[in-house]
Amino acid sequence: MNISLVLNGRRADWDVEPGEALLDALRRHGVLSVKRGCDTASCGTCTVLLDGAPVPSCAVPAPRADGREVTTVEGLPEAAAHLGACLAAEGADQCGFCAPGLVVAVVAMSRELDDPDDEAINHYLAGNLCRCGGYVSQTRAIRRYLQEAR
Amino acid sequence: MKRDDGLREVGRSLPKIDALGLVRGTPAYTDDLAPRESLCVVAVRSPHAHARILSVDTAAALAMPGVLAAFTWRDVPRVAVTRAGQGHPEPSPRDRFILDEYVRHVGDEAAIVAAETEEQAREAARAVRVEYEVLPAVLDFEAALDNPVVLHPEPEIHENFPIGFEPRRNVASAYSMHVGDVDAVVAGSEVVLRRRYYTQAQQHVALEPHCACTWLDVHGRLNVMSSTQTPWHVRRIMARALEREVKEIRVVKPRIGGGFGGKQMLHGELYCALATLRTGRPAKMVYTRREVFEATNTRHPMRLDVTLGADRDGTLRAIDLEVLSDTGAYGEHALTVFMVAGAKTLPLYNKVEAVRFGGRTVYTNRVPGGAYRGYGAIQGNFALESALDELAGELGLDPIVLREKNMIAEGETSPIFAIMGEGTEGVEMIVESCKLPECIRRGRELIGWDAKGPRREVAPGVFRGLGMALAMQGSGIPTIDMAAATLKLNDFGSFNLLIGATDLGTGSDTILAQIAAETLGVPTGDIIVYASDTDRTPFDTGAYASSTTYVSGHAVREAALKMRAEILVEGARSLGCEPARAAFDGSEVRGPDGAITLRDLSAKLLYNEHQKQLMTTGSHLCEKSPPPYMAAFAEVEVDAATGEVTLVDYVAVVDCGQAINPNLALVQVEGGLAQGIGMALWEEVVYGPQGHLRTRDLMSYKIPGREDIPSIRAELVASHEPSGPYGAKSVGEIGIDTPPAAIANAVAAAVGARVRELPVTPEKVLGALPG
Amino acid sequence: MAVKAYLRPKSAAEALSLIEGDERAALIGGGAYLRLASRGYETAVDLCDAGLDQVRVEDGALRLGAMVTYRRLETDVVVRDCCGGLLGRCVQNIVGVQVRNIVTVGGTVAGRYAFANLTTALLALGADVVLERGGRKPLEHFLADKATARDVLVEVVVPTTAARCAWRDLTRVRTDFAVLNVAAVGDGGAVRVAVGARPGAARLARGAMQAAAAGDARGAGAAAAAELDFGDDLRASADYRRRVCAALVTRAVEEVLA
Ligand SMILES: Cc1cc2nc3c(=O)[nH]c(=O)nc-3n(C[C@H](O)[C@H](O)[C@H](O)COP(=O)(O)OP(=O)(O)OC[C@H]3O[C@@H](n4cnc5c(N)ncnc54)[C@H](O)[C@@H]3O)c2cc1C
Ligand code: FES
Ligand code: FES
Repeated sequence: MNISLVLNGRRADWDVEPGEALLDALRRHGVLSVKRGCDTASCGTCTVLLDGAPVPSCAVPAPRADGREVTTVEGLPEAAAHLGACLAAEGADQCGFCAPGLVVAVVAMSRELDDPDDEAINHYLAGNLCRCGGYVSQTRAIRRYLQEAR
Repeated sequence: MKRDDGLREVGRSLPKIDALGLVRGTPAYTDDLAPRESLCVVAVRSPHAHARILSVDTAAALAMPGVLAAFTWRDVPRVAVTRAGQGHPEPSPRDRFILDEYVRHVGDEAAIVAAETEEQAREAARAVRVEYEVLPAVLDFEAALDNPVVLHPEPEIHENFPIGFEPRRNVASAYSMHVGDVDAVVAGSEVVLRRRYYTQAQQHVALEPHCACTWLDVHGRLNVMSSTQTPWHVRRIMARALEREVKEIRVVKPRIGGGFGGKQMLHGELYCALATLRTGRPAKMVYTRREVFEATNTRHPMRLDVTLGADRDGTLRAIDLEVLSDTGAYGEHALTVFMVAGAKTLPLYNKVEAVRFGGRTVYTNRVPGGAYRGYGAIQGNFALESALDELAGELGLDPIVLREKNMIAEGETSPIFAIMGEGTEGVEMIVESCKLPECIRRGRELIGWDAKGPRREVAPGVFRGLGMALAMQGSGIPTIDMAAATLKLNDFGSFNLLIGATDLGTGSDTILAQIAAETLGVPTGDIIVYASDTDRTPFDTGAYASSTTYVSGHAVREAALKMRAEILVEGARSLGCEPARAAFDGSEVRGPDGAITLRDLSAKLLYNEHQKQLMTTGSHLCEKSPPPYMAAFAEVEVDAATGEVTLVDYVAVVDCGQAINPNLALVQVEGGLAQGIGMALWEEVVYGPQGHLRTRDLMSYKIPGREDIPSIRAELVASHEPSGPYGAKSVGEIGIDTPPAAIANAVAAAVGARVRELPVTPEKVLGALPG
Repeated sequence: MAVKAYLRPKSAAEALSLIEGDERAALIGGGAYLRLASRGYETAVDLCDAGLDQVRVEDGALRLGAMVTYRRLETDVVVRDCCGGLLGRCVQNIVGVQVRNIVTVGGTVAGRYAFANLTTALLALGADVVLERGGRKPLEHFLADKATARDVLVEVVVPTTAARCAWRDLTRVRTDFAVLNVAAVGDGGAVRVAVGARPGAARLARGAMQAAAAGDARGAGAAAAAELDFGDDLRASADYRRRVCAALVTRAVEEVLA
């Protein structure tokens, strides 16, 4: 079926399967920053913004994106570069597989919460798993990013 | 920047060279890079824990749209191999085939299909009709030995050298060693403690599921891209399994989304290769999360019987460790993981009069065991460090005091170093760097050991407790791990660093660039790294056994030293002086009457004068395996009404030698701790009564999230290992070893509940509460 | 069975007409279980455009449209001000904001998930459900009905008279499914206690409610442990759940009585 969405600020007309998840549609259309870590809405690597709200794209039916805005990390280049620099400065980035989804979630968090403390950061990002680091360096990097971005 | 230690690039927390690209989501992992026209390869998996395949009917599947190929065990070469990515010949039994007549665990491959799209391939896999003769299964590893049900009756399987392989008895490997007369020393000890501990199967849960793709290049060679930790072992094992020459295959590792040992076995590579060789088309296989759980590997579960003999003053006199390890359906890493349970724990207490280690690994109809960070050491550590705490309790000693009294120190050795290697004998070794006393001092200060005391009630029925554990690991496998690196000087002064080493996300590409830069005297930014390609980079055994920094680091340094020497020769020639009278400081070669910059020299060398390519190779064989050490301290809060355990704080102080990149070393420790904490408290692969996995997705198998481990504090102590590149040892695995014991010890301190079977669940804590 | 059609009806009535008599059609609320269940139906009827995402207080009751997400329960000021914030609190640790941005009140209640924290809380609050065809009925009755009736859940109606509300659950990792969950609600002199994830579906613990009304928190815990049934699953044994039930109910009732 045909859907029309705004992907990272640009209109996209896609033919998607009625039973397809948004994650599959995105990857099939070459949006490869969106990763499949679990396929059961449990890991956060497939996080995208749907009309500004972070959602697990593996659990959103692709047809639901019709008429809506989808933002992936490709559409957030400045936040990615800035948060990426903070992560790198803390050594918090390891394999990087969780990173694009994390950037998307952090951007959503920075719009929703002002001045979150570590506990609030950890709570907001609880759906973004990372298996490589122990989260603490990530949290330090995110705090730094939020401070600098403000 | 000149520093006190005289180092410029080593010891700096430089950002990882691939950091920004990965954060931006640049296509970099196997599934991102696989040719778009790849066929999708899907396995038909056994629904039974143990069965013989009577027939496979692929006709219906082959008739479906988009389906190009199907394979059964009759269609593939029958060569016994191991999937374990280990040295040649492998210390694991060669006990499997690309596809076999028998399936030995739920999820084992029964057939393979390849189709144009993933959906078509999955539909086709469902349409393959397999008729099974269901066989009785061995699901309890304590009942596996000499069980009438034999998992591996097939005649072709074999061991490559003696590893105690007795398939008729369901034994994948066996080993024993002793120093002194353990029974006599135990009998003569004032206090004897005998305890039994169990460790569970843990899954790696690298967030990138296993993925491989294959294609034929213009020369008709089989190219393989894979999320693997061991490209060269993959190539060698593929060649054997497919009955091809090694030279016909190229293996490349792109970025990997985590490995932790889980990608030290072959998974989809062979199946993709079948499809590509049959159809001529590129093919890829992306594991679903469920397949990762059902059809890759887990940590080997173990039963560990510990006997400690000691005197009342806390002198440890004998240690006996008897282990039964469950290797599941195949013996991947069976012997070596099992040996490490002793080899990388027992030397910590080197002053004992007698020590014994032995046992077996047995086959069961479960997901195969395999390499997993810690690699036996975490299992052994849980048993030994728990038992020491129990002994301290019996003796009325502070657990720290008991350990300080008995632990290894700089300048000492342990006979175990020489006796036990990984699958073979070890090498003798004097410990030249061991900062355990500093680690303990700093750690007890950070956790507040003396101020807080072992136990306190913080609310009615809620108790806090402190526990600790020590750990050691190794740095590479002596006389086996080998690495090489090549440096190539480019025009205008940059270098290509070609390395076989395999960066799993650990940052080793960055660290090795730092070592090259340090040695050459140039900025790390001038080093362009290309890694892990069997055609285009030199050899490396792979990323495992905590070897990369220590072994590959040496190779890089050697290549760089040679490059420096060549630059000096060429610079001197260009300046018209004797090399002995010239000096190279990284930016220019200076002679008595002038200087030439590296930039100019490199351009001249390629375009203008005495044109030649400078290219040097360093190669290093690991000769010893200096252990990194760690002291770890856990503070837990236990709710005595529910048994709930909350990890309040975890402090780890590590001696990893000189950290090449302190931030990256720390995050290795933190990440290892997080996985160890997961194993200590939550993670467990659980089976149903018929051998079906009950934990096969991330809703049922829970890894820690960021709220579960709010406080991890890792520090490095100053240390220098004389045998390491710039004083480095290793740091990749040690972090994972301590949490099971330290946390179990803290829980016991808090509420008196001693849990000897991992994970330490609320239910077990409640069950173990005294009175 | 692959999904062949995807529809977005404009109202609950239209949704009902699409699923009535069509066994192969399924409603999609949040759709969080989409990939797990996608082989079960041919026509997906997505309620996202059906106008069911309203939150309002009317006649002393909080009315939550079926498509209201968990995240709204946490962030919407109207919901936060009701029932001591219980509705937001009981879902706040479920997976992560991503999942809570999609999963819905209606999908949870209609799905009759035994583990669902929200259902336990709604039961303790004495909520009613409103069905497009079946009309309004107490949640307790709805949960007891067979799940087969093809109907569209339109909204959940929650009395806002509750004075004190307590929530207790026990999970392994923070974001996991509960090993047991307990909600206790004080309303006038009465206390309502519901216990879910036993692992059976949420039930009112009437013996515990009596003890609690008499001011006996410990007695309430003991009564709940005695009167409810508990089972084994991946996360815990029946025995363990029974012990923990006593402790959690005691604590929840203590909080309500305090
Ligand atoms: C990874 C993960 C972890 C979770 N962990 C927890 C947890 O720890 N605790 C917890 O309480 N919950 C948990 N949940 C469950 C979640 O909270 C929801 O209850 C669940 O996802 C259903 O919500 P949904 O809106 O997605 O429903 P859907 O999946 O859309 O629908 C569920 C069922 O209800 C039907 N349905 C949907 N809407 C209606 C309607 N309006 N009328 C009639 N029928 C309808 C659907 O056809 C389907 O049968 C988890 C979910 C996921 C994905
Ligand atoms: S892939 Fe969507 S949350 Fe894991
Ligand atoms: S960096 Fe590997 S999962 Fe987060």
